[in-house]
Amino acid sequence: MPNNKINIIEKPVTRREAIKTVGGALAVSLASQAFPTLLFAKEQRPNIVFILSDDHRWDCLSCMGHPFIKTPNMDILAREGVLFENAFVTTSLCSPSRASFLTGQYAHTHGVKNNITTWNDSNVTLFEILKDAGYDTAFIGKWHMPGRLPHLRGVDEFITFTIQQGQGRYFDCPLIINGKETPRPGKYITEDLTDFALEFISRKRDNPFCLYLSHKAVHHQFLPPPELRGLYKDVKLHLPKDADPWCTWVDGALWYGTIGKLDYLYRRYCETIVALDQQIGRLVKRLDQLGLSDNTVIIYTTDNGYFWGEHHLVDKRWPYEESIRIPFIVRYPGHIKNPGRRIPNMVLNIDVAPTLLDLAEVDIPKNMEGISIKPILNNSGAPWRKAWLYEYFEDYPYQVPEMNGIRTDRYKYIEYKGKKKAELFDLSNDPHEYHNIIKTPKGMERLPELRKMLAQLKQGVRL
Amino acid sequence: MNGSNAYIKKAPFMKRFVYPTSIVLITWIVSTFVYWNSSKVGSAGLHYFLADASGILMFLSIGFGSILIYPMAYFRGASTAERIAASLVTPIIWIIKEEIRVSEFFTLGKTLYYALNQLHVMVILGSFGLMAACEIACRMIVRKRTGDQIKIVTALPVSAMVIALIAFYCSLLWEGGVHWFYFFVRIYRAIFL
Repeated sequence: MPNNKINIIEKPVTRREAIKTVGGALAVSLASQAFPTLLFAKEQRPNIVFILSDDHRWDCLSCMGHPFIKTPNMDILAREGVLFENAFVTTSLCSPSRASFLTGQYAHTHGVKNNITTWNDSNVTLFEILKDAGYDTAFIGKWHMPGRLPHLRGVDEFITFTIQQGQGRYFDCPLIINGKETPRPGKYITEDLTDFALEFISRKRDNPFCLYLSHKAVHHQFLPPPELRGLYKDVKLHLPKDADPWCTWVDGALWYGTIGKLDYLYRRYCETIVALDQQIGRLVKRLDQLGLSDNTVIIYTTDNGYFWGEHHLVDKRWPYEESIRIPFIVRYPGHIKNPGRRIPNMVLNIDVAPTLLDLAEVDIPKNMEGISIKPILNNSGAPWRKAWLYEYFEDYPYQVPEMNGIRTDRYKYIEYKGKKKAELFDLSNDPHEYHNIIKTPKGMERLPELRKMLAQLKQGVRL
Repeated sequence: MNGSNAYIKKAPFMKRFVYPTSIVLITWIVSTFVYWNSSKVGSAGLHYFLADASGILMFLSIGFGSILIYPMAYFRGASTAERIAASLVTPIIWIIKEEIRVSEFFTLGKTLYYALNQLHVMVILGSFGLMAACEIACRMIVRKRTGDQIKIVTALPVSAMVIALIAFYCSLLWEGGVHWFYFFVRIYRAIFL
């Protein structure tokens, strides 16, 4: 070896090269101490695409075995990521659930208890924290919380709608684009919102981004775009045995806006899901085209489920599985081992905010009541919750009593305010919750423990 | 007031009031019973048939019973007040039943306020609109049969029909009735929150 060469590890280099290399390393090291978020962490931090739909119940995806609906793009997300088979909302109602996604808190904590109580601007959302961590942020779509539009700290781009009390319209829905009302004639809302999302993720930027895409779909009036109308008009439906075409008319069900016969509405609902799936496909495709997929975590979920005649009900709110259970898919290529897995652990809407912060390597505020699912993304055997608390508050004039309940892997116990009697279901033997076992020997045996657990859960979140 | 006292004989109260009312009321009671028990039959086909048939009858008896009651009472000599009362029996009993049902969920004040919701208002105003249409139709029949030059179209029934149509549009057609609903909820907030 020549005299002017020294061996650093294995590669022979000159003294000048060695000094340059060591000096460079020192400089980088010092810079990393001084500007940690600017040089290193930012490189590692994932982009976030959170897609939230409305009223999409957990089994209305083809990857969940639905008999006729085709959702190839959601299926791809599940195939390339993980699908949580037991995902739930802590309050099955739009506004409370949406606020829970944003804050990681229960409805009684963030204060949006129903579709009437207003959002409090002092609530801290994941946007505020991600912005502080250097993210570019966008909230695009349905806000739908009572009161005026919020001042969302940490949101760079806020595109939403207020028409029809924030429910929006499927067609020609005027948008509020960063505070300016903008007519959108000729636009189908799911596509329109996706267009804005595509524009946001396609921007050249130095920072990671967080896109919160909140669709109106597939809320009623269940309107698919013209090209999908009638797609399922001839398929054989598999409605539950306690359903009938008039479910949507009786016992105050008309308040849910479901004017029309159940089977007709259900077909339109499924067609609207297909439209949503297509738009999700556009978004995923663009991420792939931009080469962003490997470092982008996508979560697809919804704000609550929906009854289609089960228990002779439509809409949501009640604590039965069709209402509280949601699709929940996470795709994070390169970071999820063995993609295509199904994870049985019970995850909640309040877990989303802490999870996204955790994935972004940001400290999770102590007042978030959810748990990051990061540990179970690759190891479903990691320590995890065994039970969780469900809550629902009066939402006049909808005829559902206030309630608190507990759901474990096997049991569900619900206490109602008012005259309705408590219910206890053994989900392993009665998955459709038709047999209240509270007065059976088995039920009476389980009841004390479940009551105790419920009290503990309530105490844990100061309810 | 009847177009021709000579043509229309005043029948006994049972016949001019109770019978017409009972036909619709009993239809509603029976169809309600059948509807809520239809799922108990073993066959899915029969369940759907019964649910469909009873659902339609239930809906018609509440919303459109006055089409049957009003002319029957009219041609049996019932007074205007009796005809109106007879036509409103089933809708009002349905509303009372709904009030009892929702009292399981709401306080007394909220339960009473619920009575003013758009469906209830629509059923009542709709019944008045149908009664008005029936009144005009009955007058036409009387005029045709008797030759009496009674006035067919008068201000009161026309007003009732116009109000009913406006209520129908606002409660169901105008963007699915959401505006009326939001107004109802806004008043609720002002009173109860």
